[in-house]
Amino acid sequence: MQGRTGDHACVLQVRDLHVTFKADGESAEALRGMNLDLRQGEIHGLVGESGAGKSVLLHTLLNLNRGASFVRTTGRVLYEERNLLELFEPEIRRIRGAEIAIVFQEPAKHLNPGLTIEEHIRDLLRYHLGVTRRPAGARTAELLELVELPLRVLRQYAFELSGGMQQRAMIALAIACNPRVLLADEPTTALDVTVQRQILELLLRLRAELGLSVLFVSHDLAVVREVADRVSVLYGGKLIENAENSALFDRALHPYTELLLRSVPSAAMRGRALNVIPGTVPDATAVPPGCAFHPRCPIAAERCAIELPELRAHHEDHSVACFFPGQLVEPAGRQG
Amino acid sequence: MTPFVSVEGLSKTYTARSLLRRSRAATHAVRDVSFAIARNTIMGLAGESGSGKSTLARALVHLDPPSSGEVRVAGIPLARLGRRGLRKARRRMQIVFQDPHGALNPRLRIKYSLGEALANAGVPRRERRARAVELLRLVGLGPEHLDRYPRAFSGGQKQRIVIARALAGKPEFLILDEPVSSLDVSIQAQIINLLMDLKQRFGLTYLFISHDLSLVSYVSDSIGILQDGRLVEYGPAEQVLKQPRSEYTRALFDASPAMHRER
Amino acid sequence: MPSLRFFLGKLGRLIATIFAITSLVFIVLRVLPGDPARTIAGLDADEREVAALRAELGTDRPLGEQYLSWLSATARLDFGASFFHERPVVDLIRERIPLTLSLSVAAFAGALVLALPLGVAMAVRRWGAVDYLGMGFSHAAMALPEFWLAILLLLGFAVLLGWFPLFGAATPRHFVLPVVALALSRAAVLVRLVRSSMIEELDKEYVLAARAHGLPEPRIRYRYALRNALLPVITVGAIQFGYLLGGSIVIEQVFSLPGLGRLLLSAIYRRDFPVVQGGVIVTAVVFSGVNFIADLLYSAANPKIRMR
Ligand SMILES: Nc1ncnc2c1ncn2[C@@H]1O[C@H](COP(=O)(O)OP(=O)(O)OP(=O)(O)O)[C@@H](O)[C@H]1O
Ligand SMILES: Nc1ncnc2c1ncn2[C@@H]1O[C@H](COP(=O)(O)OP(=O)(O)O)[C@@H](O)[C@H]1O
Ligand code: SF4
Ligand SMILES: [Mg+2]
Ligand SMILES: [Mg+2]
Repeated sequence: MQGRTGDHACVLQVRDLHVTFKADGESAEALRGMNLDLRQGEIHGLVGESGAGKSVLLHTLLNLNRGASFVRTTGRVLYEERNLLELFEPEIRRIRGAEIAIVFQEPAKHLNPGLTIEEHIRDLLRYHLGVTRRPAGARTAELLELVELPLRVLRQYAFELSGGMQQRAMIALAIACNPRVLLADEPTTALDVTVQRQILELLLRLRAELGLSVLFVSHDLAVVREVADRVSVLYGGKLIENAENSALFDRALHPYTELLLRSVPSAAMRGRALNVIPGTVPDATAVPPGCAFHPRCPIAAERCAIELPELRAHHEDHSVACFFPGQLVEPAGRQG
Repeated sequence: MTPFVSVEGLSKTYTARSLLRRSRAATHAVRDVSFAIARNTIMGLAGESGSGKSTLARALVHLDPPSSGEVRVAGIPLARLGRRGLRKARRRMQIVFQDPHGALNPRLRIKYSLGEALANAGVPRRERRARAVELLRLVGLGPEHLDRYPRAFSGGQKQRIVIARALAGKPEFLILDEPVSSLDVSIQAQIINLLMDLKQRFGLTYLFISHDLSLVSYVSDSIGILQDGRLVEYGPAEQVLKQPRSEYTRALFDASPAMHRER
Repeated sequence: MPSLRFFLGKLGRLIATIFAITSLVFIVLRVLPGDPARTIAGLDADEREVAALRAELGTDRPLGEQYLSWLSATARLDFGASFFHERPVVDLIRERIPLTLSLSVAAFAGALVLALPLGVAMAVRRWGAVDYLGMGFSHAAMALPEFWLAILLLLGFAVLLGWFPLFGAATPRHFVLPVVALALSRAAVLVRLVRSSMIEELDKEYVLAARAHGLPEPRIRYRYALRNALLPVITVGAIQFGYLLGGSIVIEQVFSLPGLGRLLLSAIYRRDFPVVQGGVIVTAVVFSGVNFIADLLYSAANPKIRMR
């Protein structure tokens, strides 16, 4: 299976990942056999509607699941030839934040209300790099410069900063220890468009300057289209399509991806009804058998309700999990 | 043609009151905003968070009385109406808010939520059930949903119910404040289509508020852009999209990621 | 540190509270129906005696005038002289208050020392063995009245085992049992608060983020979560200190400790009004002062408030 990625160097590989929770006594399988390759230096967009399992995936990559409702994780997360899910706490702790870092969706909630930005950064430097006060000061200043924040921010608390500044601070924390991989969970969803633009540009610049590999999670197709090199689509806890950016947006093969793209409103669609996917996203406690999309799929056949389509390479560098890839017909009047 | 809704010099100022000092700081949430919406058209209103969109919506229907300015709906100045007149007039204009989860009382079955709205609209008790079924049908739900509680519905279904409830008094004017922002992409399209369909069928007029410029471009006949409470851009959709007058509008459109690049 | 404005605001509130308390005491004792002079003199006293007493107490003067002189006397800590001890009330209080305060402070410290680590341990391993034991302790200690607990301790450790002296305040060992009795009751309340507040903090996103940053678990618990979890504990802690002051009245009685509580209680039996007045005011002032300190601590620990 690992051979499939061929000559591309992968920093992070996810293999047959299953994550189960308990919700109201029912078992909820949030991830149902995820496979994913994050290649060196790429921005990998991961799109999916709410509940598809995007956040669960990111948390699982760093083995962060816990709490009363968490049941179990199976599968492998391979990083530098080690399965992160099998590491002992002290080992994975050295990786978290230092080699693989996360940026969260709501920076206000993910920053400690009782600590200044400087205290946040100091803690990270101290625990991962053993850096003491003086050199930390220099690194801290450097970090702020990287994310384009004024130095005064150091002595401020998260609630004193605007949403955009909070997210910049969050990113400064994430890159503080020079990680190889950045996991970004909807990093711009809570922000205004102009601020979103700045943050996206910041991420692109940091990728180039620091050689980061980024897993960029979002429910916003337009944002992913703008920043990602490759795009994966998540539905019902599984990857259903994976391709290079333009391949996915121009020639989507999975009916869900195609319908999702068609349902996005734009000025060009004025006066015409939007294309609609009937029904709703499945809940993790009740994912339909067979192809999870079959109750909503306009071209579903009998076998779709019974057999599970595996993610397969349809052609070079474009995989899809569907028995009838690319067979959803173009609606009348859709301009190419 | 006289516009169905007209707004002249509308302002809303909030003064923070503290015990000791009378007023510390005044927030000019909406400043001197004027526009008009023709019957059975949609005005889209966009702007960044805190720009005053929701405040404008509330001031427009006098839920929060405006600090100054005049609002006319169907030629009637709302400020001249007494409290009872305003209540009657409000049936003809309804607000649908962003968060459908908070909009429905979690302890009331759907039929009571709808029944309450129908009662407010003066529908006699005997007819309410039939009307409730009809309302649900309008938004694509069935009579079997009447006896359920809100928690049994998905976000999209809840928003349908909220829209059904807004339609109870046969309004002519709906203010939709971020009606799909909290919904999934695939569900957003369903709700937007529903809203467009209802508009055609009942000749409704909308003020459609959203921070999503693609969406605003798609639905609107005219577009207004708010910045710091000021309407910095206002005109027919075509013109605003093609040749925006204000620099800010251009910046906003440039910043917003778009699936389909038209220009 | 809290801003000067914040500090002055709180100080103003403290002074206003103390003013309100003294006024309330005046209202209860002088204005409400009933004649203090008659009450003091007793039912069998004749009219002349009562009138003389009124003149001595000043209760025959107009209310406004009485109020003003009461205020100015109170401000000078002049609560009059005890009928029974025939000494200034201030002196009596001054003699007794160190014992009560040290009893309360020691018990409060003991309660915190017990409640903080236990509450954190319970929150970290929710529904684990420690959690159940802690809950059992909390339930039991809350169900038992303080004096009952005190008597149990006396029976067990003083009478049966003989480890500690029975009564009096001669040596520090005399204080162990009363402090333990008071501390256990307060810890029972505080431990629950620490637990629930800590559980709430541990579920917050910033804790997840701290883990995602690879910080060690103890650091996350104590430096991150506990620090924020303590905010509500500070507020409730101040109220618990008030309970301690009240609780010491009973405990001093059980252990025959010559504290403020015992002074007050016997003054009530003896209808020694000046002592009761003085005692109530001093206790209330101490309680307000503790709340004032708690407010300052709260603001020092909470940057959001500090900024305002
Ligand atoms: N009740 C109020 N009291 C004081 N200030 C208020 C009040 N309501 C709104 N404001 C202020 O008015 C301004 C406009 O707020 P409003 O809620 O209308 O923004 P909005 O454009 O709807 O933003 P969003 O996109 O975040 O919903 C803001 O600065 C806000 O803080
Ligand atoms: N702690 C949890 N307990 C129970 N269910 C959970 C938990 N975390 C996530 N889930 C479920 O897993 C699924 C995926 O969630 P999530 O990854 O948060 O979705 P998203 O793609 O929106 O980020 C959802 O159905 C969610 O309800
Ligand atoms: S496998 Fe079948 S149901 Fe699933 S997407 Fe493909 S065609 Fe539709
Ligand atoms: Mg998520
Ligand atoms: Mg709003």
